[in-house]
Amino acid sequence: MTTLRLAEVTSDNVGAACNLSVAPHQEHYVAPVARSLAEAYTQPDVAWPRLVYAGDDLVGFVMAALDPPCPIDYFRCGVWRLNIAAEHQKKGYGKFAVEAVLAEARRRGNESATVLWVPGEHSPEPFYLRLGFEPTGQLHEGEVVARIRL
Amino acid sequence: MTTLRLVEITVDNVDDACDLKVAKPQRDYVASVARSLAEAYVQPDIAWPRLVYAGKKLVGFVMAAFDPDNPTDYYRSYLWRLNIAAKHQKKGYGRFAVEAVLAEARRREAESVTVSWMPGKHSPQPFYLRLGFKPTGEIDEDGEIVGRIQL
Repeated sequence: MTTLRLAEVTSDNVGAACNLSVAPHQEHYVAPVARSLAEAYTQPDVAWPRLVYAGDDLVGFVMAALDPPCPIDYFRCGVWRLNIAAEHQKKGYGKFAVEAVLAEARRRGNESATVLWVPGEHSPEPFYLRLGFEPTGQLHEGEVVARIRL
Repeated sequence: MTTLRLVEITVDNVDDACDLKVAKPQRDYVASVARSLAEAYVQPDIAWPRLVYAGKKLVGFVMAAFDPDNPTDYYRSYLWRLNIAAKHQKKGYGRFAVEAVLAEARRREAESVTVSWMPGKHSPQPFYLRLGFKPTGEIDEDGEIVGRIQL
């Protein structure tokens, strides 16, 4: 089995990170990596962006938001963005990335983590339900809020 | 005359910044704002990104690199990116943005500022030459012409 690992975003890999493309039907559901890193630029203490490598191949990007004082409780700790490269999907890399966020959340003493998704065809909803996230019943700007206990 | 000003990138304006689009023929010549801010994220002490507002309207983006220790001398005080919104071009906003970078470079006691551009139709070459940048004769690693202005 190929070794999976997380890497921080650096000057050497940011170009490749920005070129990472999800499958076309997923583009409606997740911001491009460049946009996520632009947001990270404005909140470097909240954003926790990481690249996912399978061996030497860049296969994905995940960004957590870790913001304990946020007034909106479901933005205090969660998966903010997840982009798996179109040609590397269905291999368990997304699960690996989410579990890495959950591990980081635990390390920081959180008791739960959240994720939000836009409902619809090709939504990541079934993926997150399989991982154990449960809808809280809340909606945020049309997105379903879900939570997992750690 | 509309008041022009520079603004730092924040949580409140980053979406508008990323939505800023240059004219189509210019898209081969300059990276998107999101891409530039992604690069700024990995080099926050070097990148100096600012938004240009005309009154309350976001009209452009400029990013300098201030990296006095860079081994490549033309990257030490460098006009890295300039994006003026398609519908706000030809109004002097680009000149304002460049002059703001030159002022910041002076404040940091740089003696010159560089810029680099791809030659070709729709290249910003005539714009930078008009502002006083002069080709140094160097071509950077991406095949771009390096221009320099003394401060």
